[in-house]
Amino acid sequence: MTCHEFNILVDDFIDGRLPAAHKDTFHAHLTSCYICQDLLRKMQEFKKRIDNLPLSYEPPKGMLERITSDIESAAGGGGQSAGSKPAGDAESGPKSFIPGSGSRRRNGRSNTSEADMYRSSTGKNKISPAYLWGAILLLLILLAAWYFLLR
Amino acid sequence: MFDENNKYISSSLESARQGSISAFMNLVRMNIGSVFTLCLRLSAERPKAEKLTKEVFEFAWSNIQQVRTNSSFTNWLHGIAISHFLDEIRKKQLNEGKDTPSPRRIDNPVEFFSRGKDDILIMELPELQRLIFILHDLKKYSSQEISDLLVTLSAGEVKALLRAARRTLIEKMLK
Repeated sequence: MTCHEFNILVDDFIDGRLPAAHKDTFHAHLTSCYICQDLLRKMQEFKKRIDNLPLSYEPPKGMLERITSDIESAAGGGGQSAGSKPAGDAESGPKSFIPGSGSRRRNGRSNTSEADMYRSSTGKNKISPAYLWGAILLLLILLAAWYFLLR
Repeated sequence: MFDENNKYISSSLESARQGSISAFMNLVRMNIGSVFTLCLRLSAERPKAEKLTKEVFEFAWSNIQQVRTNSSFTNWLHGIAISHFLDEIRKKQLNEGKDTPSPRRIDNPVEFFSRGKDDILIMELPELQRLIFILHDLKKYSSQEISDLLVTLSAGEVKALLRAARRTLIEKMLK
């Protein structure tokens, strides 16, 4: 095995994926080549440093608040606190925000369609029975008045 | 303790799936740091990282029904971040056509990386090398999985770019 070949295979070795067919020649070259021993040592040190990189850094100040505000607005509860239950929270919350659905705006906010969706999902835009009965009563009164006037 | 934490995440996830914003915000609070860190490493630019982080959580909220309760919510969020970033790269590649070196663009690296200066070196890698390095060495994707994600590169080409990224970093980190 040449140093060039070792240089290619050392990555597989570090990743624990060195093909079995190359194991013997890889180790034979390693024991006889100081340059490649040095490369392997550096690779191992490098891997250790990479594995110790922090999983998480502190996000910028105010970022959480901005995300909270955008998501609440998108769910139709603009200006309300996260703990409250804004209009459309349970019923239209997640579904109302699907990208490309037409109800989402670029900044995560939507226009009146959020409120419209809430009303249609809860049936609040249907005619209430009280209004219907009122209209029927009014019609009967007008019919009665018209009948008495004709007499 | 670990089980309690898992139970809390599961119950928050279940409530969020039923439409509770406050439960979803608990999940955001738990994950915002790791998602932002991944976005910052991927994009190497703070405003882009902030925008990407925001998009990840907005997308997660709109697609919360798709999360399986037995899978890791954090991994799901990271998957969204990677997928959105890949979309950005594809758009950019269509316009520019090739990988370009990334100049140091973090406006205040000390603010974010006082504990890990190695991150700054990672961000100086050319964009494609950086992406492959992050996916392989930090997110533990295989070369084949990365090749499948990137579509235009074979597993062999992914390995070659990974090797180049590692050699650059070794030279800078261990000098």
